[in-house]
Amino acid sequence: MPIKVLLVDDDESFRAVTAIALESEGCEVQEAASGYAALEALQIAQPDVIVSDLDMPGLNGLELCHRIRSNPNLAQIHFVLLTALIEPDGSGLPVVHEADCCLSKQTHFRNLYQQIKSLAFPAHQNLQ
Amino acid sequence: MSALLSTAILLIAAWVINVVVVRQARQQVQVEIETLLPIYNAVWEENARSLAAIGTTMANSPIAKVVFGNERAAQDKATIHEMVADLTSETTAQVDLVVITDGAGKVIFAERNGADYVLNEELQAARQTAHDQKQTPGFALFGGRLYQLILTPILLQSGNDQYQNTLAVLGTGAELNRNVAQTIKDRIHSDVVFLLADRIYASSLTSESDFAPFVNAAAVQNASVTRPSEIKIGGDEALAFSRSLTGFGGESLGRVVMIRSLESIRRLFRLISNLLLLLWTGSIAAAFLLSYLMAGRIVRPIESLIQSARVVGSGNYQEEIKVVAQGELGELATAFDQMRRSLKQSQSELLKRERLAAIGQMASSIVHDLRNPLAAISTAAEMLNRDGLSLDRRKTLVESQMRASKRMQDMLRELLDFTLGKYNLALEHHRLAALIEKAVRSLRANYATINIETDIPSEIVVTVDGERIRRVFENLLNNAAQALSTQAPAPKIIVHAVVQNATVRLDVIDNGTGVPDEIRERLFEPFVSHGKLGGTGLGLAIAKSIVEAHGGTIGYEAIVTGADFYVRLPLHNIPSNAPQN
Repeated sequence: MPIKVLLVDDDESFRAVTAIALESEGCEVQEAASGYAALEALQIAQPDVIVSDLDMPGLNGLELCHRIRSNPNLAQIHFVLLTALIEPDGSGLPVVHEADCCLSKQTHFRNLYQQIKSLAFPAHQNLQ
Repeated sequence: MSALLSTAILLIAAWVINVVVVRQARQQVQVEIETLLPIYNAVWEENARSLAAIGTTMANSPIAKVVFGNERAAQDKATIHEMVADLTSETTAQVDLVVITDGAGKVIFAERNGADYVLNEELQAARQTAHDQKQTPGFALFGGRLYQLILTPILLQSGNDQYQNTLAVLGTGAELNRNVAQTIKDRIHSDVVFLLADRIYASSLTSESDFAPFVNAAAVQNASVTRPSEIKIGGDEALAFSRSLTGFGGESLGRVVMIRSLESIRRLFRLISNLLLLLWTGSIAAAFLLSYLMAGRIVRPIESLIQSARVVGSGNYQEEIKVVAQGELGELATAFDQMRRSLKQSQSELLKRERLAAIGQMASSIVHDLRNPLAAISTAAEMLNRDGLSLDRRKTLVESQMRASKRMQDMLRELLDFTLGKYNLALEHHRLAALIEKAVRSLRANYATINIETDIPSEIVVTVDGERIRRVFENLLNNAAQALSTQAPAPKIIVHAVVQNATVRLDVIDNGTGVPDEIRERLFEPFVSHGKLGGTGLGLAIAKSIVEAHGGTIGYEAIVTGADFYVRLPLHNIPSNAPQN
């Protein structure tokens, strides 16, 4: 069963490319152009993992994460923050609060996928 | 003020001194007059002694005794004349009158100023002198002329030691003329008038007519030394008193009036007044000089310090503070200049730090902004390199790459525009409503909860670089949305436009909390931000430079219910390649 991912980013190019990349790894990706669009999508869909940009106009990544964690129906969904504010080596990592983890936007998509997979199937990770 | 005060003090002092001095001076004059009498008497006595000496000399001369011992010779006027001329030539004293009488007082010879003088009078006093055989002084009136006269007996020793014969009586006299009056005046410092019956006989006055009103004045005639009479002579106040001129028989021949001028008091007063005036002028001048010096020493350095403080206060630390004063003020100025220098140094360090920080901020914001498209491009490239992707997906990847590249290009161009301060505007006609609608649409996608109202008349057409102006509107709308996103129960943005004269004014109004006072003035400067996390801080600065490149203006107005950012663009005559600033 493919991992269901909700990809939230205001940057259309990044969103489109990352969606294709994750799909090529076997994920089922749904896109949202903003925090509000993501909340709207969550009313119907139930993804395994949300991958969201941190710095977005309107509702930013941290606020979105907080909304999800505050909603009992959504609180169990894994949340991965992406940000251009930290370096690929992870330095400059902001306090992510309620998110599961935070990755640099320049992280290779395979690393991102690994992170998503480990969150979605913790047992599977242990086998590896 | 101080000049007025010192003037008042001096005027009072002058009045007091005047009153005191005049009273004192009057008393002084009274005392002086009382001391005049002995001097006056002494003058007459001296004159009398001088005349007596001549009389004695003549009376004792053997020739006189021979002449007057001989009855015939005693009748011979020529002989007597010769003898008198002989004897008087040896004296320097003034002898105006020589009279010789026999023992009975009958005048046998009279000469006035060396000339014969007919004197058909009997001198009772001479008879008395002949009888008493003693020199007698007195005043006499001959032919309407007043004389001081000394009668000297010419005696001949008889055989008997005890008895002397009076051969004749010699009278030596000096006329009471102007010279005598002047002599007395010189001694008593008062004018002297000899009065004879109802006329001035002689006086020391320069203008005798001035005294005419007082010739018969009883007050003057009766005024004594202790009770002088006040008169006004020739315009000058004076004190007058008189003495009687007594003849040999005790009869009054005339009077001597002495006039003490009060002019000296006046002079004294004038002197004091002048001194006071001088003092006043001096003190005023001193006061002015002092205040001038004070101004020079205190006020001017302080003014210059204040001026310098203002210059430093305005942020100009370049101008050196000149130390023009000495003492504490000088120290103050020196300390102040040290402060300025240290301020200047800190300012330049601060500027350097600020600049470095700005460069850092700019660099990091560019890097962050470039990361999104860069990541997209590299990921897309890797994906494109894979097999088994559908054509559709490949197309999407390529489009994303192109879009990301374009975005990077746009960002770099914008940054370059901004740092160079120049825009190559691609001017075209655009409907304002369409430009706004594009910007609002992208905003709505991101801010679903904000109610955005637009009211743009569709007929407004502007000639602008559509891409850049849309960027301006996006910046303003994003600012407004960010100001609202985390608060306000009913967030709302109103965009409306009106045509005013040859311009269109577009307002972006939100109902947020408005711009904090502290950043309001620097709102359109780079890196002044209170907006979203990770914002570049360039948004409004870029918007301003773009609007100004179009010949328009951008501004902020605080309103009660939030914030109002406005853009004013010209409807005609839009300059291309307009400088940013």
